[in-house]
Amino acid sequence: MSVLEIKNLRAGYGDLVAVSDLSFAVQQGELFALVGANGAGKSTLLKSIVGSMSVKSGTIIFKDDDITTVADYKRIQAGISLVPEGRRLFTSLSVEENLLVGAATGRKGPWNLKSIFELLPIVEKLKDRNAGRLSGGEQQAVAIGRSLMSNPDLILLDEISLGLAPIVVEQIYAALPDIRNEGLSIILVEQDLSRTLKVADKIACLLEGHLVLEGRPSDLTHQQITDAYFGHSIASFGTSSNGANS
Amino acid sequence: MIYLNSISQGILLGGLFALSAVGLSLAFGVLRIVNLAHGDLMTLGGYLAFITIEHTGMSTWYSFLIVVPAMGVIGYLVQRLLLQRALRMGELAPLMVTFGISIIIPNSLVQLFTNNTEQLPVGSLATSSIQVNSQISIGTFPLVTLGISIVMISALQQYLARTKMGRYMRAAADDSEVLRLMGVDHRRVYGIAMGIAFSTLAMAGILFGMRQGGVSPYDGQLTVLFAFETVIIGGLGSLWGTLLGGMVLGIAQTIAGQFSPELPLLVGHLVFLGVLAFRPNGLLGKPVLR
Ligand SMILES: Nc1ncnc2c1ncn2[C@@H]1O[C@H](COP(=O)(O)OP(=O)(O)O)[C@@H](O)[C@H]1O
Ligand SMILES: [Mg+2]
Repeated sequence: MSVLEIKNLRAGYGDLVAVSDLSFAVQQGELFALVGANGAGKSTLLKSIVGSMSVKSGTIIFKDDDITTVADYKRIQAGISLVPEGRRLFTSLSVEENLLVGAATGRKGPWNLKSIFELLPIVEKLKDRNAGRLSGGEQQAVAIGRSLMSNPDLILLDEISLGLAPIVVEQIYAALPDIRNEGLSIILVEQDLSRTLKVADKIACLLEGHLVLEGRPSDLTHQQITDAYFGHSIASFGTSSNGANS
Repeated sequence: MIYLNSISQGILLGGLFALSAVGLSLAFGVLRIVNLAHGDLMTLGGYLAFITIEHTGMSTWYSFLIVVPAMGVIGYLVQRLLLQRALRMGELAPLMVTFGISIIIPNSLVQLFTNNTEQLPVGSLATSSIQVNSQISIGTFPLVTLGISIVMISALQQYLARTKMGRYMRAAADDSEVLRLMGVDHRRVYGIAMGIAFSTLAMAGILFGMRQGGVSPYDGQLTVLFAFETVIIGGLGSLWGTLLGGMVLGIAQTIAGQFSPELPLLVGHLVFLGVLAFRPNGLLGKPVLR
């Protein structure tokens, strides 16, 4: 069963079309990785899914409901959550307060202060600290915890390793299996291909707003993926932009 | 000794300034709206109290029970129906809306009630006072005013610090877009914040009217100035700063009043300008981000 289905999505800013003719589906419990170079349209796609920007055309279906025009905060209440690019913590609130605001939907599920503290011990250590006074890695851990607090069915992670020290990235990725154990579906946006290939069930590549490759990491060659990522010889493997029904 | 008396009078007056300023501080802190109509809304609160008294015969004190919640509802609606729409149009639009309100209120009041002062009787508290020693006597009514101010400011402080909605307000001040991404409609949070702001300014408006023996349509032109000065002197983003700012302004005014009846306003402005020049973030304020 698919938790999210995107059909012919087109979105952008003013006259700029940042993603176009995009179709794909994310299955229940799947870790769907979305890769692509800077400016490919990954964040735009995530913002469209979560509703912080409106789309130009196309359809977004979440758990069988058409949410294309539903207000962003209602989509969160329905079970989508975004860890935004750049973390964007509430900097005048404490770490614990950030988590509590994350729980605003009141959705029931495995995640609460206690389980987040178990998942990310660093967050517990920092809980009384002002969120404006954290390192990048600490912020990222809090941002992920805050998003989980809404007990989402689908979580969107936008470049959670960007600008972080490798050891910190390692720690954050170490939490992924535990998050997945709870049956959550994940869309993971990354620029780091090799790391992504290791964890993803499905990988899709965005190039200049188009979906140019989609498949299971085991079914794709490294060459195919790097070609798609950098935009070389796209025609040679002839993917259409619609690979939703594999 | 005469200064000691002025200082105590100033502190009492400062409590009222502080109460009149918290709503301004809240509206700016949470919604980033500079409410130019703040003083005129205080005046409106005073007139609503007057109307309540006229129609029901209740005392001014009881009118709070009607006017303060009513102004809270009005604040919520003004935010949701007018200011929220204006916010979408950029930073200048809400300013223009509040400017418009600041024109409409006093002009309508003149039409409805004439330019005269309408009475807001204090009752028996008006004349009673506490004699501290031979030089210092403290009026009961100003003391009650100060008490109300301190209680309200503490309560609001606790509300912002400890309740869920208070947390949302602080989060909205940081990043309203991300607050929506937590599943909270920031417009509702804004509406409630403005409702609280209107409630506190209504209290201050009635108390001001009581202190001066009544309300008249253009009172807001002066009270808005005091409220702005209080917020700036105390520092944005700190309610305790607002209380301190009110007292500094109050003391400056009452001491100046010892020398000449024309001086209080001038000296109050000078203190305000001095703080702006030497401590632009106010006495207790944090640097304003963004
Ligand atoms: N707020 C914005 N206003 C205008 N253009 C934007 C905005 N955000 C992104 N873009 C443009 O949209 C395109 C896609 O950007 P984005 O979705 O952020 O890419 P990615 O996340 O893959 O790096 C880029 O060309 C970028 O310049
Ligand atoms: Mg991006």
